[in-house]
Amino acid sequence: MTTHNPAVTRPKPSPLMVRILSGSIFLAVVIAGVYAGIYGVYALVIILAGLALWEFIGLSEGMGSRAPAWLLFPLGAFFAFSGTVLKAVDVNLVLALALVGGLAAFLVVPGRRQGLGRWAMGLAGALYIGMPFNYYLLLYTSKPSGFVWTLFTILADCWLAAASAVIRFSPRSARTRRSRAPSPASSLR
Amino acid sequence: VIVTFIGVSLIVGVPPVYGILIGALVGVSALVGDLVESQMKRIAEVKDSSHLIPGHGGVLDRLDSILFPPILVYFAATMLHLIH
Repeated sequence: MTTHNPAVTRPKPSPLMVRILSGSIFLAVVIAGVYAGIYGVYALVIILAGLALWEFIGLSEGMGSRAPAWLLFPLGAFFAFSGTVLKAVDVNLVLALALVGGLAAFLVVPGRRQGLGRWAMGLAGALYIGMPFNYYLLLYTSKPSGFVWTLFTILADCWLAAASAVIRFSPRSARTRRSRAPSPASSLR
Repeated sequence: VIVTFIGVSLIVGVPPVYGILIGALVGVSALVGDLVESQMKRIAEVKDSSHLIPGHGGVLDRLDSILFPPILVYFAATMLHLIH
C-alpha cells in the first residue's frame, strides 16, 4: 500500500523564483562581507576565489587541459592579494618561480605529455580569477570612498545580471525559444 | 550606467561625465566577462560551471560578469585622479 497523496505534494518553485532567492542570498552574503570591513572582504575573497578556482579546474578539464591544482590555487591566491596583503612580494619573482618550477614539475609529474597545456591553463586560470579580486581589494582600500566604489561596481554588475535573467526567463523570450524550436513535422521535412 | 552614475556621481561627488564614462566601462566589461565565460563553457560543452548555487549554476557563472569591471574601474578612477 502506498502512502502517496498528490494533494500534499508541495508546488515546485519556478526556476525564476529559485534564481531570485538564491541570487538574493548570494548578494546578501557579498554585501555583508563588504560591510564587515576589510577582514570580511578578505574572507569573501578567499571563499569566492577558492570556489571559482575549483570550478575552473573542471572547466579546464572540459577544455582539454586540466589546470593543476598545485599551480592554480597558490598562484590564484597570490594574484588575488598581490596588491594588498602580499604587496611586498615581488610579482616578477613569483612569475619566474611559476615558469621554472611549474614547467620543471611537469617533467616528472603524471600527465607530463600535456605539461605545457596544463601549465598554461593553470597560469591562465590564476590570472582570470585572481586578478579581478586583486582589483576589488585595491578599489576597496582606495581613498576616498573605496567602499562606495566597490559596492556600486558590484551593484551595477548585479543589475545587469538581473536584467539579463528577467529577459531570459520572461514569457515573451520563452515563446520566442519555443517558436524557434523545430517541430516534429519540420524535422521530418 | 545609471547605477554607477547614481553611485559615484551623486554619492561620492564625482563629475557626472566621469560617472557616465565609468558606468559605460562597467557595462561593456561586464558583457565581455559574461561572453568569455560562456565561450569557455561552450568549449568545455557544459551548461554551468558547477551546481553550487540553485538556479544559477556555479559561483563562476555568477561571478563571470563581475570579474572584469573592477580592473577597468580601478584604472579609470586612478587615471582620472578620483581615487588614490
